[in-house]
Amino acid sequence: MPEREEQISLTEAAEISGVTPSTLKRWAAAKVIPVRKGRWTRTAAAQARVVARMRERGHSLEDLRRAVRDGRLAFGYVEDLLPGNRERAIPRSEAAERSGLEEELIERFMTLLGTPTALEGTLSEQDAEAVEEMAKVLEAGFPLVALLQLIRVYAQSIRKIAEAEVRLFHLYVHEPLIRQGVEALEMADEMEGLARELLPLTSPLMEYIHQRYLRFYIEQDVVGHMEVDFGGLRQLGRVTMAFCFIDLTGFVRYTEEEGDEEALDLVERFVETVEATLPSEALIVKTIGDEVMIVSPDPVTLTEWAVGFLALFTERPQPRVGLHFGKAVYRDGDYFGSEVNLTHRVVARALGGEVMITAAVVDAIGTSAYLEFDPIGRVELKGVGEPVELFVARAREPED
Amino acid sequence: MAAPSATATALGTSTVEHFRSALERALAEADADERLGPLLSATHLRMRFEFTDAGLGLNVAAGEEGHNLTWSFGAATWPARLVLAMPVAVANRFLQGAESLAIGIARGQVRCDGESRAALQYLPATRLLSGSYRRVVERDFPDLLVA
Repeated sequence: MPEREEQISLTEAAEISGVTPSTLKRWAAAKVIPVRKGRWTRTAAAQARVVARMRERGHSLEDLRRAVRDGRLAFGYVEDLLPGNRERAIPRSEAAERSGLEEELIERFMTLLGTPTALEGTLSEQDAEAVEEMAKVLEAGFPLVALLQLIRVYAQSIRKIAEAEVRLFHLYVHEPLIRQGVEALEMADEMEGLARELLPLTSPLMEYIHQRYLRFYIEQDVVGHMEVDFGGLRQLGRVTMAFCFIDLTGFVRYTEEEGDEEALDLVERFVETVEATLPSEALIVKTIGDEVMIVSPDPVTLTEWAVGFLALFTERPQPRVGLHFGKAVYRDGDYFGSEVNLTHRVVARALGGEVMITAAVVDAIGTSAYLEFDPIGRVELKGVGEPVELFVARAREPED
Repeated sequence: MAAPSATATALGTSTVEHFRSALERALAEADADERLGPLLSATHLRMRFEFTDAGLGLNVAAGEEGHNLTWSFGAATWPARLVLAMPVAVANRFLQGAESLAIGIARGQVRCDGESRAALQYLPATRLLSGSYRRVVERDFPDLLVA
């Protein structure tokens, strides 16, 4: 049984929730926030903050009362597990003094992190500690331009993780409890219990995955350095890679005919199969609907993969591939530049079942015992100045 | 099923026997694994492997009566939705996660027959077997281990 929560004053509840005391009292009377016998708690204040947001979105008190009764507004457990900022607000000037960083830089860090206090000019103790850590990274000699990118990647990735955690918890824990008609308080207890068990597991799990990937990419980096040194492909700020886009032709029509669920299921399986069959040096950069972007330092194995992968698909919707080998700017975990755009134009010209490649890929592969390249001539591609020489790659016919 | 080719002789009887035993143990481990077994079973697996240079076939399907998986070596006992044919050396590397199946197809070392949907359904699942197979090889058959 959870311990009885500490009582706070109505004024404190108003400060935490950002709602006036009179409105809080009215909501308590309307039973949209859990206040028993005038006993205000942080859980109640946290729920009031949610109620305020719902009211802003036009929901009536009656709607909210029903939501509370059904357990759909069960939120208070978060306040226990992830306590918000209860300390004093620290002025940016104080954080600057503590960390030795300029106020403008601190504001930039906070904006990148998506911290609302960036706009208010104050930080929490946790924010100030994070700024001090960032100052240590800079002191150690890590360049500011790289740190800013790293923070943006951290913030974007971790925001996605947090969003997925909350959405999946909602879909697979909260919704089933609502469907089962579990009583609101019991539901809150169950959710708190499960969240309390799960939460401590997330950080070690993320640490483990992080370390595994760090090791993998450090190895890749070492190999990449050696190949660059031997091949003379070094160019400051840019990386030389094979870029690949793969998508499903006729996917829009497939969705119309088979329905959203079937189409989503197909895309999930498609991406999983791409992942399961890729050579170890290649990696998925991103997926956009039915399109997957892949990069690899090795154009040979990536082209072989594409040819072999498409051979798996004899029925619609058939995948198609566009491949190019060139330089791109690596930033924020993604690749940018005209050569990436070119790859995207190449896949748009491919038919279902075709691996369309540029001359740069053909040159990089040279002679292959396994692949053949059929030239299709110089093709004008949208947004690309000069016509581009394209080839269709296919498996070499076995010699008798 | 074709008779063992000359390459099979070159492989050596013990290699083929070890490979078969490793597969057998890996499948048994996967079947009994509380996490992996139900995952494999949920894919409604119905596929066949043909190890072309060893004259060896393996039928694998989602299990019944308390088992997550069922398998048998030998001739096909039911129509498979996906058939993967490859030499033992390629299969050994693929099952240890050291070989891309798609690259094997492009290089003509792997043949894949079946529906596209079955490929989408089964290939990620097949990859799940790698962990069990690799563990068995490391523990019991170091001669099959690939770097």
